[in-house]
Amino acid sequence: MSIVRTSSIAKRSAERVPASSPPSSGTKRLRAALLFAAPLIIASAIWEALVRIGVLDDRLTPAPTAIFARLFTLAGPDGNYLLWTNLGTSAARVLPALVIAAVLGTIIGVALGLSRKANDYLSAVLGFLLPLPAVAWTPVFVVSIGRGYNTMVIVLVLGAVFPILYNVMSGVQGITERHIWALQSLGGRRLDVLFKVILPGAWPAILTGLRLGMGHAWRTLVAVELLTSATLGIGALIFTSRSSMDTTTMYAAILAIAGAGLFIDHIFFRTWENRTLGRWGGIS
Amino acid sequence: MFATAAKRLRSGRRVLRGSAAVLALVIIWELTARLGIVDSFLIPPPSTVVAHLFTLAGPSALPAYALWTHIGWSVLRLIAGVALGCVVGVPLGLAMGSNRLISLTFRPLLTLLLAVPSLALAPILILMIGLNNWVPIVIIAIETAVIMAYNAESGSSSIPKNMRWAMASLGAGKLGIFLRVVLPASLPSLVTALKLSVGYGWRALIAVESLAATAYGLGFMIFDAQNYMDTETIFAGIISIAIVGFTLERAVFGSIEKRINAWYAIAAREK
Repeated sequence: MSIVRTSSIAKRSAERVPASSPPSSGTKRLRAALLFAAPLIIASAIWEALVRIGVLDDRLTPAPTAIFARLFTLAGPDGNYLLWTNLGTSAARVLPALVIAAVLGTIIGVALGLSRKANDYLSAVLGFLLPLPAVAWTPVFVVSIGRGYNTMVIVLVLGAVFPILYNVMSGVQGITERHIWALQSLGGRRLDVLFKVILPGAWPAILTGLRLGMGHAWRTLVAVELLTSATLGIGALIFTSRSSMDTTTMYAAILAIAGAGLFIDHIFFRTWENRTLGRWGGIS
Repeated sequence: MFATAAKRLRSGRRVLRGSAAVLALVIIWELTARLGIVDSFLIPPPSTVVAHLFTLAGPSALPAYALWTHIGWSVLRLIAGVALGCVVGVPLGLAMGSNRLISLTFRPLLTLLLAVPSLALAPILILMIGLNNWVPIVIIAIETAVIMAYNAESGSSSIPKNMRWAMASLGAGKLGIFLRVVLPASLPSLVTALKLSVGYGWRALIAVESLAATAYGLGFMIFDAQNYMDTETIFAGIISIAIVGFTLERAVFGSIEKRINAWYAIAAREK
């Protein structure tokens, strides 16, 4: 989790937790899923009850059952598969942006990590850009190139590139110089060093950067779709349904965004990370 | 002796190179705008932007000293939101760190809340509490509360058990252990979380102000200027957002963090 400070104390105490009778990974995962779902189910049951009794206004806060029913309608033929169209449109904006940000971030990050000179020259400029929310660039591009696809992708790239860049940088800085020397003494050239030592060595950090960058881009997406008044897209769905006072669809869209975000972060990237880290556990 | 001199030389060279790069960028931008390579209406030269920044900050702006009013409202919303979030998040996180049941109950809810982009909450809040200052404040408060709760939990649950036992064997009650062990030991993670919250809150604020601010705020300023194609104000606003964000995140809360960490000597151990 990016927002949690991991201190050495935390790591040590985490290791010390005794694994009491390790169950098989299948039942363990099921148990974890149940433990995760239970509070959510209870909370939605309370919400449902409050709406049914009439404490909560169902126009402002529709019952969870209604929201899930709407979500299924939107995902099926009755809703013209609208959920998938919108999610797809948004993904077609976020994924190219993530690829561009990954390439840019890796190049700049490797340069910053390897060369003290590059670091000296660029860190002031980057330090100025870092605290600037990507969303703040939207008006510049809306005025100069219009409210189209390009504006959205540029702003999403700006949102995703910094976590990638900084993670790649610290990953490259963490590579032991001995590995580079070893390859050089075996006759490796600069490109060999880059592709056989630096990029593989920084790979775990690159992956973390990609995961964080994707998270940032996904969060920026809603803002960008609102600010460029897009008509399609999962973020745009929130605002179009809001303007027609269709709160049920609005909540369904928010749930879909959160669900997709959780899926990308926890299932896709974590699995990928665990797999590579498991395979390359000894590196660095 | 030599080490410190070399260090000073390094940091001097760093500052020199950094400012050289910034200066070069500004000159290139100025020249491309002046020579007409880019449309100077769409991307005004930096000299014009800085002059405009001073106009906005001065008495001849409309309304007078407009820039300061925008900055003031944004910072006020940020601070109110972060404060509100801390009031909710810190006790929740500390409770989660000391009680497994509370932790199991709230962790999924926090994870779900964290996955919802802050701007997506704005329409709900506008429906519930209307279009006013509370919308950005509550959004920042939610974001802060989640971050603070996560960190307060991880900070307070990572305290070695024997520290608690030592206090208990010396006759300390629950309150004593909380005040003398749990709270001080989780302070570094709380301060880091506070800095993170300010950073995240500032980002969220700019976006939310475009939607839910009716008169003032830096976010409102740039999106309002977009409607009038007022690029000078847009760029002046971007520069102000960067400067204020940098000042808050690094200079104010970053230095607090550094000081607390130095007090704990954690910075030295982790580096």
